[in-house]
Amino acid sequence: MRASWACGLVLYAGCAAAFAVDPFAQPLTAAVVRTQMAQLMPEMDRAQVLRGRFTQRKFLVELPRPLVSTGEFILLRGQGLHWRTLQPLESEVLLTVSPTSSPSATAVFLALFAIDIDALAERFDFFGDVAGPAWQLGLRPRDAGLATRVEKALLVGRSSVERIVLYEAGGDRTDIALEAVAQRVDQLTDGERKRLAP
Amino acid sequence: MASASALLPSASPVWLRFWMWTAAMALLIALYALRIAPTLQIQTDLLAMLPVQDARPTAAAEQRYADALSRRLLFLVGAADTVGAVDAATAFAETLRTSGALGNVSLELPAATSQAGLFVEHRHALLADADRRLLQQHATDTVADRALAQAYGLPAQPRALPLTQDPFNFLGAFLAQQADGLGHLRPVHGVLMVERDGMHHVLITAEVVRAPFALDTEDRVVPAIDRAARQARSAGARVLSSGVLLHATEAAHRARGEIVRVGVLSMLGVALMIGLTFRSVRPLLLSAAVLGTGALAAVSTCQLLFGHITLLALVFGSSLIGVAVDYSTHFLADQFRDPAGWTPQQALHHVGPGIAIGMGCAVLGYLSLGLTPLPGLRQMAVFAASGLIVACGSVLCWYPVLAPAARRSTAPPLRWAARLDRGLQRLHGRGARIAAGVIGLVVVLGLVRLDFADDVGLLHTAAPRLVQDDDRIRDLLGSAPDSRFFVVQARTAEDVLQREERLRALLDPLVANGSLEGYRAVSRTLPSELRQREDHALLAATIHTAGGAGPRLMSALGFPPALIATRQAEFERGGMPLLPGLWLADAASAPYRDLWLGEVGPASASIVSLSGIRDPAALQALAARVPGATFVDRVGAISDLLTRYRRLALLLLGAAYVLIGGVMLLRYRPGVALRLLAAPIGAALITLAALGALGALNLFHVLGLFVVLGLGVDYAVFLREGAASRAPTVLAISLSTVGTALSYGLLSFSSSPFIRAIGLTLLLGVALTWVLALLLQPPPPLTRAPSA
Repeated sequence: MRASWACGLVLYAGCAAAFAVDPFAQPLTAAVVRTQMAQLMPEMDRAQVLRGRFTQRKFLVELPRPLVSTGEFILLRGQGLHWRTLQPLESEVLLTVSPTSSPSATAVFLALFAIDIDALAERFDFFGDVAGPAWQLGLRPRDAGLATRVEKALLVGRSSVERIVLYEAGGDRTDIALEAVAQRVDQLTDGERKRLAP
Repeated sequence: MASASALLPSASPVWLRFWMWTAAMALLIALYALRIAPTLQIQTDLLAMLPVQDARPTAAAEQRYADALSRRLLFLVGAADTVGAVDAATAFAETLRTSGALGNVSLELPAATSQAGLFVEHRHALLADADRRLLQQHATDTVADRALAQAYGLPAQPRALPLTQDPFNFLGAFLAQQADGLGHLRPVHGVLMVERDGMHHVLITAEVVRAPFALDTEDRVVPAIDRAARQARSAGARVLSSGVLLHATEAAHRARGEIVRVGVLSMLGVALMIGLTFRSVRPLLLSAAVLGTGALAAVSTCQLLFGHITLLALVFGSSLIGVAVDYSTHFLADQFRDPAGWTPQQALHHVGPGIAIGMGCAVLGYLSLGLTPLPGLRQMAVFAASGLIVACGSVLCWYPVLAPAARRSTAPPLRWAARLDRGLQRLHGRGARIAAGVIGLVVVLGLVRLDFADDVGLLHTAAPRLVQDDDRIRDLLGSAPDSRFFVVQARTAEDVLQREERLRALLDPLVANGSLEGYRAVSRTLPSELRQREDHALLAATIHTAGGAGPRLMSALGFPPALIATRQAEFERGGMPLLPGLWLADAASAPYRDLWLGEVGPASASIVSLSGIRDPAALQALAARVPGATFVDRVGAISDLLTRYRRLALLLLGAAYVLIGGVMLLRYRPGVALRLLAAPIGAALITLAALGALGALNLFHVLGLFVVLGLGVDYAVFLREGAASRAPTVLAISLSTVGTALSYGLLSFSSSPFIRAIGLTLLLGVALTWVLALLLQPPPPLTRAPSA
């Protein structure tokens, strides 16, 4: 019991530090976000692949403790995301864009991970602080359909995205910490490329 | 009548008939003006010419579905970005709504795909097909592992409820299954949207509120759509529209244009011909009066008998001008027999019987068309017969009094006719007989190889612009319903749903192996009560047992014991099945409501619509395995029907010749009667062979032959009866041929394949009948001698 209290306190402190300024207080235009992000993450356009490890915490309403999982991921921008959970159980998910159209949840997810400002601008309003090297980008869905599922989302990063927080409409929250390195497409193995860009 | 008798110069029957006919026509005009014109309804649905009474048990259900489909309109409004597309679509829908011409204009997404309120309430009795199968196989570990992986995985899977309320995501899977029928459409910004090549299209549906195939409805709806589309396009958006009504309107406009063109041009041609021949205004006016009374009678009779008049009958009728004017020209041409002493009363005695017999035979020919069970043909028969009888009556009753006295000169056309006749008569002889033999042989060969193709495409060729939109929409949506579908019928709604479920169990493997792209069925969103009870029992036995998969998963995810107990208690209390009444009343049923026919007669029925059929035979075979399920192929059925009626019409055509032959035997010797019939029969056979060489024949070519019969019998009878005045008779039937060829020649340029078929048949058939009649009814030796 004490351990969980301590855990909660540490987490609370962490959150408090990260959200010292409410990122949703300051609206931003898509144009500002686009230019700023291009400056803050100059290699974003060149590096088409993001590869690394993640730690995901799901805070679910009614549950006292978050569901914590860790694993590896590979993102091929505009194509797909391979999400491999290693702990506490092994499972994998592959999100890909189909040529005609894709389920909206997949498309939103890929856009969030890739920080595809153009795609995000269609469905979200932007907020936050993208002036400094450490940036926070808040997103609120513009249409009621998406809002029934996602209340808001938060992206935090420096030269690449480090944290993605998704607030679901039902009160659940998913907080994903990423440790990633950017790579070129030719650094993917054949198997990886085939899986991500079918 | 008192005033009439005062005017009688002598109490001759001619004058009596004149006044009685005039009174009758005045009554007809009054009837038309007071009763017919205010209620005149022009039916533009070409399929309405097909039989109404359909004995098949699914007919009523099919009809209801077809009616609903014919009321539906579908639009895609597109723009380069989603927000622009939604704005354009909203404005478009608003314009349609305010026009008042359309109802149920829906743009916003029905609740089912965005909120799941109704289904949340009943979730403890609802399972996706795949989950049901897993639980039936007791594969609870698979279900639990999947739930754990989802819980720890990315939150990208669509969830209907938060994880703690539905840890297995059973409801999410059930709702995802419903999206199968959506094709490429995705809910975005609260509307249904499809994206392709950087363009985002929003789906808008609407319904026609009034009778879909009435001209006045079409006149209101189409301008409203055009206005909305113009506005959207001027704002830079793209608009694609599709709907049965658009096709019907297009076809009706084309047909109306053709009626006017054919009517005006053949009127002008006939007027020119009469003017040239008789060099007087009065024959023109008289012909117009004959045509006018005939047309009024035809329209009035049809409206009185059928309650409406089909466009097809009007198109067909507009070409009857050529036939009706025959009686007029034949009567007037009699003056050339004896230009010096001719009076109209003489003509009555001289050509009256011929005209009456000709008319009788033509009417018999047309009426035999009416023996077919096709309402459209019956109407055409009634239209033609009543029009011709009255036109003939006008000629026989009015002309003896009103026709102008003869001019004392031989008109040049008469000399041309005589010269033509002499030319044709020289064809008699050995060479001509050999030629006739060769032609006969070719015709027989042609007839043996005759090919028939009856396709629904004959009734309707869509405008390329509409087809292009339709194809584009089908391509974008990816799940356009096929014209073939299943009807599922049973005594109660519950039985219908159960039968649907049995059908779906057979359809799913076809979808899996690619024989079918997909289907939509009500039971996907509203399972039968039986299945819901089974599913609840299944969940109770496999998931929600004490220490079962449910409590185990929940404790693995860290649910406090109290919460696990709450969830278990909720399950126990739930399980109330979702019933059709509740479902229908909820907005969630909107995307499927078109498939639910409810009570049709003594039974309940629903439709299972199909898309991307690649193996129709497999589907046909399925229906036999599910009681109450019928695979319906309306297009195929219509083609079959056309084939059946084409066969029937051919038989009737033969019967009509026999019938007319019988009538002729009352007046002529057998040899003479045979000779009289030889011209129209020969012409019909040659026409068939010639058309057969051009391509496959269909019902409408046969219908054309009916008209050829009606006209062709006239020619021979006129020539026979008018043998004493050969040249004027030749002139009369030549004029008639020119007039008919003119109007039918015009029809053979029609954009509708079936009208083209009738036109071409008539053009060939009448010309051939004319030649054959002249050849087979040579002038009697007495008249030939002086002209030779």
